[in-house]
Amino acid sequence: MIGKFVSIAIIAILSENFVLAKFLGICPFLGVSKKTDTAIGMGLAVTFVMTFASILTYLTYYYVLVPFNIEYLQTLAFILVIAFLVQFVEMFVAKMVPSLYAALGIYLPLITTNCAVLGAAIINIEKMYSLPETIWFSFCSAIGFTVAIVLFAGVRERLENSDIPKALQGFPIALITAGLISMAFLGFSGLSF
Amino acid sequence: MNKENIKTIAHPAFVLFIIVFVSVALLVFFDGITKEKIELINAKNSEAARIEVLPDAKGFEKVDFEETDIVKEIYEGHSDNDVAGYCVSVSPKGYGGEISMTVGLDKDLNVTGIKITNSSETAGLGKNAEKEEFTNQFKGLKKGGINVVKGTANKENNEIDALSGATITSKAVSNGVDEAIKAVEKIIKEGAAK
Amino acid sequence: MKKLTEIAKNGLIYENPTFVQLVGMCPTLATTTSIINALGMGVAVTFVLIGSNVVISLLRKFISPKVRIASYIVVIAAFVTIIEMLLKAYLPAISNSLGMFIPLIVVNCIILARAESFASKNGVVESALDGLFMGLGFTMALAILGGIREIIGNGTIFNLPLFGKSFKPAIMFILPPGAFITLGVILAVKNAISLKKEGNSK
Repeated sequence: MIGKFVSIAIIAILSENFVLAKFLGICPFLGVSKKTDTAIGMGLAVTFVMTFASILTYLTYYYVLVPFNIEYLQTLAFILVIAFLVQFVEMFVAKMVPSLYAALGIYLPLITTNCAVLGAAIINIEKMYSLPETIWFSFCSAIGFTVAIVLFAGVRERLENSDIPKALQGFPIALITAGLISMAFLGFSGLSF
Repeated sequence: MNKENIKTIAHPAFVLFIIVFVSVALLVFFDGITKEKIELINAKNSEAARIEVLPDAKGFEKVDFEETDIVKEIYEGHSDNDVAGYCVSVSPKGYGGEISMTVGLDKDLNVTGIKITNSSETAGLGKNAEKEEFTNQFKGLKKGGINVVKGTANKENNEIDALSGATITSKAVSNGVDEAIKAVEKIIKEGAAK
Repeated sequence: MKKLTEIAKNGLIYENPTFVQLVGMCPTLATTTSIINALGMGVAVTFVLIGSNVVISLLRKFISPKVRIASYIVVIAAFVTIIEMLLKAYLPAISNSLGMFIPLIVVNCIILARAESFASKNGVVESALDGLFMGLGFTMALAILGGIREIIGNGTIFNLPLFGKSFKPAIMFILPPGAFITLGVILAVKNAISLKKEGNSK
């Protein structure tokens, strides 16, 4: 039991990292990674939403879609659940924890179209995880996302001050850097129990 | 609630509801059109895989047994009232997730062929396991555990060559074959006991 | 007529979703391990783009701003599910190799971006054309990326071997790092060309 949870954590954070190996959540990865602080903020917001979204989509799938035999509405149902969750979290956090809202607020609306969240929900169903496994996998995947985006932001901060050929400035060098980080993460490949 | 409120809240909600309703209706319609076709394709694929790995059989019959994490389905292949062999659907865990494959075995538990029906292994590396150059290696192997070696395989010693750069995939496939053999061995024993 | 060429040029070149706007990166990087996968993804996205653009343009007067994003998402999700079913039924091989990236078209920012910035403000015909050309621009970009990665990383194009048996492909190019690096190099080359043009015109 514990072995399975450890193995899920290692797979989700290192060997099958959402961003660097599965290409999920690339838009915020490239878009919100110029500064380490904002990268951490985005990572936290994603972790929060992804964990909750997975619980809700799990319940939606097994207690609404399966009993009525309408699994083909999965995509539609999941994206609606995620959109409403994000909206709700935004309103709730703004009212109850204004300080948290000040830190995460601007990232929340962006998360609806973050494919990592929907991606995690789909993978949970595909792999037929149980509810605890679902929660754990989503949480670890989001941590993997955070690790990747924070590492990347750290490198990009240093790139700001380096002398880069004109044609490579901006996105080209960022993508090539991401490629090198991803290559480093390839070293973890096959790391599973 | 005054009129203005009704207009600003009820109207958008109503429009959204209509859009959801129409979308769902459309999807139900398309599901009706494509469902049979998709099921047919899946059934055909697994039937085709069974015929490919156990060419001697003329018909197949599903066998009841206790499913495991890896062994999913067992079919008994018949040829003219005689048992021709067994087809086992296994899904061992590879590098990129489960590998769905069908293993054909003759009565003496020798491998007659394997076919990988679906895998999400890395393109260009583990994905090459689906090619015949790799799967043909398994033909004629026996029970007792298959060894995965690098470039020096000898059929007499129950060995196969690993795909270059995809040892995990190669081991997963051979593990799937081993498990298939064990499952059928168990069924035969239980059948004899009855 | 002038409008048609303008829409076409915008979609294919000036506002190319991948090379200029840099949106929809997840499928761009994930599904370009071969040119066939790239084309499959491109065509699926084009279909959804045309469909959602047309419907959203038709409904633009009825959808109030408050629920517009939710409405767009529902329309897009419906089209995505339809193409998912059709692919499973008629092109199972492509459906298998694209896997979960088909349902993920829902959250491809290019589709929501076109709905928000074009279809909600323009007529049906223009919106359909915009969807078509944006889709084609996306498909073209994916095909270039998929082509390069397949040739270098696997030594084939459309699954046909290009080089002799002794050729050892650079497998790294069809692994994840290759996706990032190939796209980075393409963008750098694009920048270099436009920098050179600027230099010449000065």
